[in-house]
Order: sequence, then C-alpha cells, then structure tokens
Amino acid sequence: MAGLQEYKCPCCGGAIEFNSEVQKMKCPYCDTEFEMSALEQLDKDLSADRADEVEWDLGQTNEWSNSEIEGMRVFVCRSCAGEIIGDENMAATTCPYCGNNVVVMGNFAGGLKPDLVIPFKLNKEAAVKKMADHLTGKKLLPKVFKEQNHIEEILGVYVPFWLYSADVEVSGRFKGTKVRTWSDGKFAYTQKDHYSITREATLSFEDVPVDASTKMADDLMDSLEPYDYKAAVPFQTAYLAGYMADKYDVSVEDSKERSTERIKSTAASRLQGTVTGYSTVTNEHTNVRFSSNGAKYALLPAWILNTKWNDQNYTFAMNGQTGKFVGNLPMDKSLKTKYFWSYTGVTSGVIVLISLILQLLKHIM
Amino acid sequence: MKRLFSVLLLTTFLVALCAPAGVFADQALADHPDCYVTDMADILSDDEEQQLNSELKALSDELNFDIVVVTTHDLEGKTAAEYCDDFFDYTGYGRDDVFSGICFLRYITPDGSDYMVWITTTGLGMIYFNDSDIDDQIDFIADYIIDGEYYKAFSSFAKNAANHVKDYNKKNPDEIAQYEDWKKTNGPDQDGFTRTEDYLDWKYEQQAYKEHMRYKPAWIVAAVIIGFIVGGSATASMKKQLISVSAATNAAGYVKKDSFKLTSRSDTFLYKNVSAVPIPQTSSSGGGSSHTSSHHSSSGRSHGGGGRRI
Repeated sequence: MAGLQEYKCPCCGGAIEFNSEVQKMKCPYCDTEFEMSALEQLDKDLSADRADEVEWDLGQTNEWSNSEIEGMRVFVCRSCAGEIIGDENMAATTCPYCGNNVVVMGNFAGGLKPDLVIPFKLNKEAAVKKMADHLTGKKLLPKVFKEQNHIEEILGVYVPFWLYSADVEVSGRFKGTKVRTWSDGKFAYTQKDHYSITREATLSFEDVPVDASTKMADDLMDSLEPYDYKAAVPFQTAYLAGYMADKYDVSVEDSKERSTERIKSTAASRLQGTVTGYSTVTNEHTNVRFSSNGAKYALLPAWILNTKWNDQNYTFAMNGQTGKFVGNLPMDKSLKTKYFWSYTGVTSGVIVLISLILQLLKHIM
Repeated sequence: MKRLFSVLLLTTFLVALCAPAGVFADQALADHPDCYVTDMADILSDDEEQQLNSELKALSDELNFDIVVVTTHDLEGKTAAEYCDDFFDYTGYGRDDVFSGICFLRYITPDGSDYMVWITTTGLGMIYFNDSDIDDQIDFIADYIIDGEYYKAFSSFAKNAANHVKDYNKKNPDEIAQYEDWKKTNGPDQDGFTRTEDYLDWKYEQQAYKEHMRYKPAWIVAAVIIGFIVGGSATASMKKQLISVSAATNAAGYVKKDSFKLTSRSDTFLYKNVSAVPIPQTSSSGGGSSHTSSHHSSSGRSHGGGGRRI
C-alpha cells in the first residue's frame, strides 16, 4: 500500500480517517473534522522541524608580538591565585577580586592578544562618587553599612570578554488559537479556531559579550552591560598604563554556551513576536542555525570596588565607559519589618479614618 | 346513631352557611363567618371539608389570623387575584381592624382544562408574607395540588402558614407594636382604609436607612487588606533597590539594526471547537423578592398575594 498516508489528529492524537458522509477527514475519537489540505500542510510543517545547528567558527590568530609583551608584568594574588596583567610601572598591591595582597610574578608570556579595547572614560573619582550615589536613597540599607564600609582600594581593571557575532536563521512552529464568543440569549458560545503556524527569519547578532574571567562573577559583569562598541579601538599595550588587565581564563570554546543561549533566546522571542492576531500562541518547536559567525577578544573597562562588612565581601563594579554602577547591597531585616508595619498601619489607619469621617458626615447631613 | 345524625346536621349547616359565598360579590361586606373552607369546586369529601374546617378554625383562633381556603370551578369573569380578594373581603373574613388573614384559592374547571392557585394576604398577612414567602407556601404544597390530594394540600398549607406566622412573630417580636404605632400617626386614609403597604414602604425605608447609616465592618477588613498590600509592595520595592546584579538571559541589545527579516510564514487553519454554556435566566416571576407587592381589591382594601398556574 505505497503512498498510504496516515494522519494523527492534531486535537487528540488519535489516528484519523476519511469520512465519506462529511467528505472530510474526521477523527473517530474526538469527532473533530479537518480539511485534507490543512492536514497536508500540518504534516509539511511537522516534517520541517530541524535540530539546532549552533556550531561556532572560532579560529583565533591574534598573537602577541615580543615587543608588545616586553613591558608587561604578571601579578598573582596570594589569596585567590588570580593572575593580573599590568605594565611594568604599575604598583598594584591589592587584588581587585578579593582585596588581598598581590605579588609580582614576573614577565608576561603566552596567551592571545586582545583584538579590541574600550579605553577607560571615567576615572577613580567618578567611581568613588558613583559609589556614594549608589548607597543613597536605599531605605533598607543598614545605616551602619554606609559608615562602616571602607572601600579598601578601587581598581581600574580591563576585564576580558569574548564578543560573539553570528548570522542566524531561526524557524519555529507554533500552535495558535483564535477565540470568538457570541450569544443567542440562551447560550453563550465560544468558538476556538486552531491553527498551525510556521515562521522563518534571519537576523544578525553583533558582539554579544561573555565575561572570560572566572574571577569576575558572570552576573556582575552581565549587569555592567551595555558597552558602547563604537568607542572600541584596536588593542595596544599603551592602554594598560595605570590599569590592570585580567587575563582570560575561560577559553572562547568554553564561553560559547552562554552566548549561544542568549542568542537563541532572543532569536526565538523575536520570531514569536511575528505571530500576531491570535488569542493564544504556544511554541511547539524552534530551531536556530548559525551561518557565518565568529568571536573577538576584547578588554572592557570596569572599576572594581571591594568592601567587607560583617565579615562578608561586597563587590561593586562600575562600567568604566558609561558609569553604570552595580552591586548588591545588604538588607536590614529589622528596618524592613519596621517599614512594613508602619506602611501597613498608616494605610489601614487612614482608610479607617476616612470611613469614620464618611460615617460622621452621614449622621451630620 | 344520634352522634352520626348530629354530625350530618352540622355538615349540612356548615355547607349551607358557606353556600352563599358564591354570590358574595354583589353583597356588602358581611360579618365574620364561622366557616373557613368553601369547597364550591367540590374537590373535597364532606369529611375532609369538616376536618379541614376545624383545623383552620383552630389555627385562626389561636393566631387571631384568618386562614381560609376556597375552591371554585368558575372565576365569574375575574382574575384569580380579584376573585380571591373579593371572596375574602365580601364573605367577611379578616380579624382585627385591618382584616388580617390569608386566603388560599384553588380554581379548577370541572373538565380540568383551566386551573390556578392563588394566595391573597390582607392586613397583618401582608406583613407576615412577602412575595417570596407566598411563593414558598405554594412550593410546599404544589405536589399535592398537582396530584389532586387537596385535603393534604390545604391542611399542609394551613399548618405551614400558621407556623410561618408564629416564626415571624418570634423573630420580629416588636413588629406588631411598631405597626400599631405607625397606625396611630398614619391612620386610615380618606376612604377609611388602613394601607398596610404604606406601612411596609415606611418599614423598608426605615430598614434601608438603618442599613445606610450602619458602619460597615467591611471598611476595616478592606483597610487591613489594602494596608498589607501597600506595606508589602512598598517594602518589596525597597528591597528591589538593593539588587542591581542579575545574569543576562538574552541578547536583545545585540541584534544588528534592521537585520531581522521574515523569510517565510504560513498560518494553516486546522479545526475548530465550539462550546455552549447555558446563560442563567433571571426569573421574571419576581420570586425571591423580600418585598410585598400589593394591590387594591374591589372593596377598596389592600391585599398582597401571588399565585401560579398549577
């Protein structure tokens, strides 16, 4: 019986057959009727589902030249073993990650040379001021935190990032419903029309950044985004003068997962954004394929501030280009309770007072 | 034998006493009769009629509130309401100065082609029985009526109505005194009729006013709930101020400008489901009304009442 096509009911999953009475395909289990052409199209949609193809082409060729690394030194943290690069004149004494002392290890060697660097635009004073701003207006911040926390050192660090770019093809299959309601006085009717929807699109992503240093918390670095890449320039060691640079310790291969997830998520949501005019839309299948792609190695500027309070480390960071300041702050739980009950009490009290005034007015009028 | 004879004599007397009721409409208001059942449709046996009469009389005397049953196969061109009102008024029923009582009418033609039950209330009856109470009274005995078990129907009606009056007095011990007070300042109108419906209007107004003036505890409940919501959301937003670090989950900021191009699209209609939910019908009979609707009968008195075609 070559050519015999078996269809499954999109409503209940049962095997459907042609019903000669209604001259349509009809599901013997749930009685739903289908046009033959609709089933053929659905079959086509289903067979078009593909797996993701997210292979990155990550060949890196940019190496340091001997003259470039001559003046560079590697500093090592005694406590966290973080390796920091600086120029030979840098007098760094504190690790930007943990606040402990660092020692000069020796000459820098090996590794890849960054493709790009965004030079620092904001200085240390700006970071100190931003830190003060960051602490003001926070009602639940423990009062003593402001007084007691001492920023031991504020360090300008070039943080290594991998910047991923990709041209993406995304295709998706969705189920959509359109709901229509009407009534004839006796019954309220609801008609649900079910659709199979497919979409395909192409889009390009440019320079999705992924923090390439294990010493830097990923979420802290994510929160510094966005950087303005227009100000990026080809890397030259001269930019390191006065600042530290972290050497990447997560390879471009190991970082790609995070960028892939971010790209897939946005590609899928942009595609779903084109499915309009439906009451409900459910994503049945989405696949993402990268066509041309690649990654760059960039150093992005950040001011890192470490502080200790109540034996806990608090790390703050400021985007050295835009001044965006981030860092979670501790919460005073007793303050929170106090605020909660005073807001609750005052609001309830005011409402009761209003009701009593209204009651009084009723009696007076 | 002597006893049987006397029973027969009494029955004949009673039937004779109630017989003129059929022509009551042409008469002036009569004195209060001693008979509480008038079975002109002849749907009760003599024994049942006699038994029922003594039950109704006992209850009416006990409550000082007439509970009366009338059956007919001819409404004499009136509506059931008019017939029932006139029967009650012209036969001379009604206790006290406002002619308090309740009258149950069963109308059925000999061939059973037309039928109706109606309950008329007068005086205190209008206070005791609001529209939904009357509806309930009919509900209680509707099955007996449909099955033609009239003695059971009327007897149950009498007991139910009497119990309702007793319950009402128990639940509203001050009502009668309040009504008497009202009558003192709002005595009979210019035609000499005490308008119980005016009292009811006054009472409903009083109740509505009291309800309006009452301090609603819902205010306090609402105040506490809103207080918690405000307190909770205010502290939640304060807590949010402290958090500025979160992992990025998308790359929305890195889409190359104008690079998004839809290359293919298809929307295929598959199938439809239609569901129908019955819309609850609001009953137009006014059942469940806690008010007493009233009207004036041909005698000029006020009555409440309600009925059903069963």
